[in-house]
Amino acid sequence: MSRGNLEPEKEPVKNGTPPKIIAFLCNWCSYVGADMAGTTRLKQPEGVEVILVPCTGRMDPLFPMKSLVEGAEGVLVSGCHPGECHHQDGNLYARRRLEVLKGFLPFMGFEEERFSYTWISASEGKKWQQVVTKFTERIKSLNGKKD
Amino acid sequence: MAGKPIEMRNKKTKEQLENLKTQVEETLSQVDFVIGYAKGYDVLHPTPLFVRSTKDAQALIWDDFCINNLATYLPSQKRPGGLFHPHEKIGLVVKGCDSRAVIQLLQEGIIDRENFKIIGISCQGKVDVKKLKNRVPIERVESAEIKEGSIELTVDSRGQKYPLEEVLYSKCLSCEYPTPLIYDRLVGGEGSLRSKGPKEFAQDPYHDVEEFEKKGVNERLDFWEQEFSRCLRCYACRDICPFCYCQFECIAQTRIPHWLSQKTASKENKFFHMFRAMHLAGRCTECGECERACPVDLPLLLLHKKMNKKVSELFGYRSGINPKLRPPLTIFQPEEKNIEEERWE
Repeated sequence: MSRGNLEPEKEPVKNGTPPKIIAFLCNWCSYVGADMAGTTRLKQPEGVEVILVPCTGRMDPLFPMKSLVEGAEGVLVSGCHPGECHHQDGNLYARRRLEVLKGFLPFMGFEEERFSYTWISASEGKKWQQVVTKFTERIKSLNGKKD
Repeated sequence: MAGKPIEMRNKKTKEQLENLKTQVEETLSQVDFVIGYAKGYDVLHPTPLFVRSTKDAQALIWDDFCINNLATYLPSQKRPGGLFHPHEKIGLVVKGCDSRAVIQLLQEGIIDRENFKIIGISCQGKVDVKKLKNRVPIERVESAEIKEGSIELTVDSRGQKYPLEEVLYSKCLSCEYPTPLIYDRLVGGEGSLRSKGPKEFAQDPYHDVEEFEKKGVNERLDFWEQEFSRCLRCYACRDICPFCYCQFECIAQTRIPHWLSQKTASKENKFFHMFRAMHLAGRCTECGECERACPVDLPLLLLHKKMNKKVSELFGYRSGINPKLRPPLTIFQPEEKNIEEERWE
């Protein structure tokens, strides 16, 4: 589903087509957490593209920005809980940057709900499942409103 | 509008010019050259002037159109292959708003305080040529003068008159710092007429941002889509910005990493302006040069003001006020007071 005006007209989302969601996950916690959700066979929504980042401190705010401009329908960032960063304080820098980005995206015409960030540790496979399910549902209902 | 302060305004501008010339001449003994304003190709467009001798100083002007932010030249000083010889010392004429750019550059360590002198000049607001453009054929304006709260133009030897608040820059209508915050010499004395504040000028600096936020999300999307489809990606906004000093490393043009293609479709243009706003978050001092330089009149300042508003809401920080503060996005607090994270429950 594209958002640029020179792109071909977007096709209507068929019922059941999973929304395109990009998840940026930290190597040391959320990625392992999501992996754990998989190995423990928790049911997860389809259509989530996981991108591994070495730390949320590596999260350039431009990553989610570009994803959305290029047509992603939702972007989720997840890292270690504040105070538990593998690299000491990467996620604390990230929190400031992502929060600024979060305030800016609606101004440019992207719904507030399309971008979010959260903290999930390596042992929280269950939490990952809940977050990603909720996020996907949210994007689905947003898309439903548009069509 | 009260007539009296405006009459004084004229007189003051002329006095200021005489004072400015003396100050520039005196500064020349300490620096290699001083950058000020000179008459451009017409009365509405003053141009930067590099004063290297007392003779050059006679060409200096100071009027209601001297809008250029001369602080844009400063990052060149330390740059190899920049505009100036690396050891040259610079003198600079700055207005209140420009002084914030100087402070911001100092804060970022881009310039060294001992390498330049600042001649601050109190400003009473400048006339926006783009606003005039909608009213008169600006290429035929022969003279322009401010009298009693309005601007009097001679176009094709006929007089025309517009109220001042219609033609002043929007940033001037909400100006908080008419007197420079940093200077070695000051022209015009502490506190200009404006800082004492004729209230009829006072405007909330973020009123346009708030108005835009009230629109629906689809309306906003369409608005930017339309605006950015006009963008030529000439990079004039970036090149004139005092804080866009990355030059060839600007990710708009680098091939490794390849953030952006050269296509000038609305999508690419939108991403360009969005990441520029992101890179200027908490750094932009809202001098409005990007908007002035833009050949297709994009409302770029709106983006940067939104970013600054967000940064000031979150971290209580304003750019270009205190050179000792750290930029807000390069530091953190273990507990952020104003950030409310999603709970996912």
